[in-house]
Amino acid sequence: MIGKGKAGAFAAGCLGLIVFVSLCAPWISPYDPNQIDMSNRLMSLSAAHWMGTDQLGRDVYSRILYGGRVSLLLSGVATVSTLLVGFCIGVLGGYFRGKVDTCLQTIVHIFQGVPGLTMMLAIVGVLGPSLKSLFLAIVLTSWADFSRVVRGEVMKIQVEPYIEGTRVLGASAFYIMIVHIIPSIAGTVLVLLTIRMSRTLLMIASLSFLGLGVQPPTPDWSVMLNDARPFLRTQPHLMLAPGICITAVSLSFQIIGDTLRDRLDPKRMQRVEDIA
Amino acid sequence: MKPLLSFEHISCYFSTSFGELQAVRDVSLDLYEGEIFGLIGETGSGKSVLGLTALQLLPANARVTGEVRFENKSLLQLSEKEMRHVRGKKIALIPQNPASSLNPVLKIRTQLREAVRHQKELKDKDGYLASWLQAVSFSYPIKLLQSYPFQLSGGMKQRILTIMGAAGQPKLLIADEPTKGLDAPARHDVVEALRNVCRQTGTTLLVITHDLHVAQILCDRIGVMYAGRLVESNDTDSLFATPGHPYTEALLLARPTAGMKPMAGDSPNLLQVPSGCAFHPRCSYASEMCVEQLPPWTEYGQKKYARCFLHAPST
Amino acid sequence: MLQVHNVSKYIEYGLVRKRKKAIVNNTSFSIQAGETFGLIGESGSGKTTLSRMAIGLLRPDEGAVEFAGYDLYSASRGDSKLLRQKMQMIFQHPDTACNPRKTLLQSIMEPFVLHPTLRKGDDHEQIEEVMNMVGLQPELLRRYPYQVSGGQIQRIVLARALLMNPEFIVLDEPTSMLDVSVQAQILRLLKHIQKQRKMTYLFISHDLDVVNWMSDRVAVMKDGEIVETGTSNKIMKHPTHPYTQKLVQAFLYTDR
Repeated sequence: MIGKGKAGAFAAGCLGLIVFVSLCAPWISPYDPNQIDMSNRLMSLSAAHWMGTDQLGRDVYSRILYGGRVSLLLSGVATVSTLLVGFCIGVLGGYFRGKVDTCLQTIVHIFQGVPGLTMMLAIVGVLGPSLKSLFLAIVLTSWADFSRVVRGEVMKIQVEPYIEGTRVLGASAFYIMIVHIIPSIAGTVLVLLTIRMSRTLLMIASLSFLGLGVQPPTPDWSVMLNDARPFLRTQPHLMLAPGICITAVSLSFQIIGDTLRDRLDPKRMQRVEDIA
Repeated sequence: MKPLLSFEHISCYFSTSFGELQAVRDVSLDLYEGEIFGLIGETGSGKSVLGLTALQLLPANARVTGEVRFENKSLLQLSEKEMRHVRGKKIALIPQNPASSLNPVLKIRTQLREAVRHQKELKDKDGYLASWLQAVSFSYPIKLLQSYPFQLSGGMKQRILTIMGAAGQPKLLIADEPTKGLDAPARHDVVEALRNVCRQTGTTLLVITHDLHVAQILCDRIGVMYAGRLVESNDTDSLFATPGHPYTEALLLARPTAGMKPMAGDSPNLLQVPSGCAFHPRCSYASEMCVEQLPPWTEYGQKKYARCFLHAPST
Repeated sequence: MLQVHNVSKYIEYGLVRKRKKAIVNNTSFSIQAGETFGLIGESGSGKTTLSRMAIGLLRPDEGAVEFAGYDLYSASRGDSKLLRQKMQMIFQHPDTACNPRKTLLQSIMEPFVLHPTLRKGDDHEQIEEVMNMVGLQPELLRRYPYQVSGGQIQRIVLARALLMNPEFIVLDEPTSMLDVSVQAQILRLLKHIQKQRKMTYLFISHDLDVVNWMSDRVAVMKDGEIVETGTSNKIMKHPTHPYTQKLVQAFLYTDR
């Protein structure tokens, strides 16, 4: 238990540091991330360039500092949007059941039936690679899973006797939803959010790696990965640096999510009598 | 007569986020071969905890002191591996919740055969099981063996669990709240099943229940627990006719058939158990002495014990 | 006061061919003002479904429910809000009767939030009054549901129902999860409140002794139908329907 708490704190610290560094990149980076210097290309680690330079002579350290900005912002915005769409549809379906639910579930099933990567490639392919189409691709491929989870949670809480007790007091569906159901599932949604963040980050990375995501010359970890591909054997640090960053962020989100789940579990608040 | 199972000065502590809590307080109790012993008490009295100490099935945050002797062996000293040889074969548990204690995707037959897998000499296992099913008044045992748990009612599942415990022919059966949540006819069937099984095989039964009616019709002897302590131990008839402890008396009066006289005060908080006799704040016989000292465990008649100053030699 | 006319409720099952099964089948009964009407039956006999239809929580597939002259399922919005207040219900499981994430005070305040007209000046005075009535300290309300005992929760739920000034309360096995000594306290309390406030009860239980003690009249339910109705004395002493006889026998059974 204690070990897990410490891991969570460490992950939060790690993530906080990366976010802070990304925000402050303009002030702390030693070079302009897009400054091309062909005379100093593909240099190894040195005092002048802590992480060396890439094939165009750009400073890798500066690009790493800048590289989290787009990925983190986009995955944040995209995940929250996914969550909003999935949450609303899940709550509606879970609470009203019947025809509303059947309709919504049919749409959910259709979206779940299409393989995620194929759909993403199709969307980005049709709309052309840009941040907007990347955002759209992420939201459209992940809201369905989300709404399923939310719907399940709503349905679970909805049959709790205290919900029925509130109905007996004359509460409307809207009141029950706002006052009882949404606060009860907030914890679950928060956990889901953190774990989703890591998934989204990886999705962006893989799309960018395929050349369909963030476009060069934007300094971005996934773009850097892609750029470093030809030099894997000779200059592995070009790939390692952004790779470690992506893994660290993704792992941090996962660990934070796990810790939150353990912390928010209402079963921890056991009654004394249950044990005795 | 030598006891089959003895609890000797058992105390059980749980570490919780509210601090350490003592669920069982220095309980000593003997169970004799072939008898049906009932342990009654209300929520939080420690009756289930005491029953589970015999099998070492308590959660990880529990700490037990004292000694449990079974056939002159000390059970608390046994390793987990040795304990596994005792569980099921020597001492079997009939668990509390019939709905979740059976595997929903396996046939009753498969699950019952699991219980008799150690009896290698047994040739006709299905026939053997069928005879057990008949003993607990199932009219179509062969058909029943082919069914799944969801096809059975709560009372039927509880009877299946009874057989599961008894079919391995243990020396001691422990039934934890066997009638919880069952309605009258089903409760009647389960009581009947437990009794038949034990009387036919001579198995000793420890029933843990909060249902006074079940205890009355099933048990030979009864122990009453309150706030972790055993306050009375008596044979069933005299317990219901002339209870030895004021708590038992109040409990009996609260029954619907006895006019539902409510007991004064609230159930004890296990984190702040009253001093002396824990029942004194609710007891109409209480005196100064009950507040200050713990009454001794007194034998006041033939096999009648109570922990109350009303029976103590000095008064 | 309450009249239930020929109500039925079905469930549909089967994957390919839809089949219908009645949980409650064409059942009628009526409850007089001021009495306690007991409803007894095994688990699965439909007594819970019937009671939910009687109080307006579950629309019957057939039949009608009339309360104080209003048809429960075709009343106007305003009327049904008023009817809601007059009919309350206490449930079986104390552990889940209140929202575990809210303090008991927040739970007991809900009637005021939902029906501002119930407020008569000082909220806390009103809450103190009902808490005294159920024999609890108002300080207890600062806690969360898992910090109080089952008996206390049931009292708090009763206090909350009383804030609504109901005329009719459905008691759905309110004490079946409680210990004997607590059961006696709660049932006595319910009787006392009934006298004081001239309340009408529908009392559901599978415990014949308890129903007998609480009720003036008793209906016995089996497989979705009421098989016998009579005064509780008559049901206990001279049951006529074979099922009732079996039920009473199972209860009186004391041999060893």
